[in-house]
Amino acid sequence: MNSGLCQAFVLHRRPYRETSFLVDIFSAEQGRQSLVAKGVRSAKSANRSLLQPFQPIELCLVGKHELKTLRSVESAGQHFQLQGNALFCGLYLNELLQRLLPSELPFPALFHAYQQCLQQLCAGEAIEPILREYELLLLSQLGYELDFVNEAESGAPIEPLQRYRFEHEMGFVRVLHNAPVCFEGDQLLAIGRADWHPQSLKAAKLLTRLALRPLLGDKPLKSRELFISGQ
Amino acid sequence: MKFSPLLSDLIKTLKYLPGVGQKTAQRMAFQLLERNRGGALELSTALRNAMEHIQHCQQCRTFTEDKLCDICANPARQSSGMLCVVESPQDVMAIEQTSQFNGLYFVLMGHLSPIDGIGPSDIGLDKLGEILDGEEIKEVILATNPTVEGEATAHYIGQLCRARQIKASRIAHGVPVGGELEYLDGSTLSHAFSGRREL
Repeated sequence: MNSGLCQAFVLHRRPYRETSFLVDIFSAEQGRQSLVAKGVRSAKSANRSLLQPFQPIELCLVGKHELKTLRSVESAGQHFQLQGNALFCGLYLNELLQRLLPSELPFPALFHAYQQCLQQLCAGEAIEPILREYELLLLSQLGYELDFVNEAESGAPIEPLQRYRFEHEMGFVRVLHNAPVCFEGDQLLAIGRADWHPQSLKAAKLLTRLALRPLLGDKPLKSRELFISGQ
Repeated sequence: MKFSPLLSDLIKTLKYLPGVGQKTAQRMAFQLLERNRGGALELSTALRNAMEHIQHCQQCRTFTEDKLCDICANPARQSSGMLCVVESPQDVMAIEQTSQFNGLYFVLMGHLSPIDGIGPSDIGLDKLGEILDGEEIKEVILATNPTVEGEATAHYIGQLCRARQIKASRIAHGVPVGGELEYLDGSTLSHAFSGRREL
């Protein structure tokens, strides 16, 4: 079966047999997809440099099963040359998508946002807002959208001067006494409006970590290590 | 038909070699049995010796049966103050063949690849940190592969060097010697352009 052309980015590739790669891609039409790229690792192949992360590609896949075969690949734009910490962020996004996206389900909004993120990272814009917005979008696209306007249980509006704790799959619940991990109401409202300043970024970082943790399971994200010791 | 236990054992173990399947393993086994038993015995001793004695060099992590490999043990190279970081022992051989470089190496035995679960400590970067702290290194040459993971590794090590005020440089990538621009892929060509130098 020929699945037509699709626009995609490589999330990850690993060597397979002597001259092939097993590649995971994130495509606009099919979401996360695994494929075999035969003969690409040989010295003569010009496609080696195309099948790399952060390179927009257009590919043609064949196969009926979950693991498709690459028939052809073309460049679909300039390679995003991420440098330094922006490169680590790109790897972080790839790891998130690789771990969290179900395979063969299209997420056009996420794909579009991914492209935009790479553009922003490439242009050297501030890293944290880019990552936080993408994480929040990813959560909402996966069905875990956070409500920054109303409380979880009562549905009452979130008040700037109250404190809230985060409950997975529910939302924010007002705390009356001091709890160890809680968020100020005005910071939650700021995150909801994408109004980024140091406090709201800090709260958003903690929040997305809390929200992503149950989805990631007990295997931590490895790309975070690059930052912890790299700074 | 079933082979005798020893023969099927031999075929099974020959399949451990990369690129060798059932048919090739059979051919190898029969070839050795029929025509070259002496060679096969030599092979088995060499294999046993290598597997029992070869370990990683304590300094650069390449393969050697001694504590320090020949390159690390060479006083002229120790005093050069240059350290070249590569991904694999094959890369050391490739650079040695050019006889361009006369310093020490550090072999990562891989590259940073978060999705595969390979972080800084898995490629011996703590050991590299110790070397940078302990030895007199003037320049670190980052010769990791020009892949996204290789770049990430180079950048990470670059940060380690900067924190210690050691000069770090990245090898150039571009047009292969004797090649033709027309047949070059786009990203190599754009790298070659961005890394151009004045005449």
